[in-house]
Amino acid sequence: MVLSTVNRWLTMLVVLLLLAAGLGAALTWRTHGDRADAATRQERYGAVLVAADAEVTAFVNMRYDRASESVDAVAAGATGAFRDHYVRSAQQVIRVLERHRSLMTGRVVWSGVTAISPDRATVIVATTGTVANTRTDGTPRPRDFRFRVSMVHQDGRWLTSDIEFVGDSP
Amino acid sequence: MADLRHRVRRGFPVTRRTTMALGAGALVLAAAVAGETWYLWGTSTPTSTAQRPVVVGDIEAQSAVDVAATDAAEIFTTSWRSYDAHLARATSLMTPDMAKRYRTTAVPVRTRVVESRTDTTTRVAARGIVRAEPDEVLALLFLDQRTTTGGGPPAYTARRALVTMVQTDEGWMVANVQTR
Repeated sequence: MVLSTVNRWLTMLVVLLLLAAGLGAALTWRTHGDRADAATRQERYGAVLVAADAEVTAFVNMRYDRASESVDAVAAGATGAFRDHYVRSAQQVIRVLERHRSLMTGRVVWSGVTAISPDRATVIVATTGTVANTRTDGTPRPRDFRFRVSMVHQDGRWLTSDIEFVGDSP
Repeated sequence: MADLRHRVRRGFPVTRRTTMALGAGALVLAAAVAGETWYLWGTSTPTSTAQRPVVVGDIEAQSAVDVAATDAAEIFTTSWRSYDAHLARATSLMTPDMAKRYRTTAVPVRTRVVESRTDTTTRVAARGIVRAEPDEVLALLFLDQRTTTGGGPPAYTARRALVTMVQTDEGWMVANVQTR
């Protein structure tokens, strides 16, 4: 084949490849942005669940002999009106824990995200554990809870703005 | 004196150097296109981890959780008057493996439910996404159950269920249920 024919075909191939590479670059750029957004959104789920699990774990682990530490652990992951109310009533909570010699232990069994946005989330959390106090004569009794936790994103952290018990409704 | 101009035929340069340059350019561009193609279509969807428990879109995950909630309410609502019909309906919402396991446990339950004339209604109080991948979603459900036995007063139970949903040709199906 003469060089001119080869070069003609090669030139056409280069032009086609240039067009394909240009189109590919545009698609890659857009996809890369989409994937980065998706990764941010997906990691948000993980961060929210970790924060909610930590807060609820603190909430269901209260000891009368370390009452202040127990209360501080909950307050550390809380914010807003919930935190203010919790801190204000802390002395009362400590008195109740000490009076009844309450030992509440628990762990998160499952947690799931109900709603999520870049700065707010709602998580439901199921826990299992025991409660022992003067009413149980110090004997640990099984105690499972269902919580709904409201969270807000503040200063790079997910903090709890409310915790509700989800009871059974008649 | 040598002629330094490129030879041209019908507007195309015909030197070997030009051919090599065009060939090298084509190879580089082909490699770029191949790389872009791999990035766009060759990479698989990541699997879920603790850091990224949900690796699908919010709407996709939420729709699977909604199906889980509807199906769980149906599966956990039973009546002694129509237990066999319930069994048929409930197992139609499950994967074959799950349906087989459910039928096995349902036989002794049926006897107990019918003999004690037990009716149970179940309502989903809350639902959440625990983990989501394209073909499998784990949903946490808070279930409120109202049970009456032999026409007596109702008893209320707060339950928690972890429901595994899998994507099948027939849509999202229940593949496992754990309750606590």
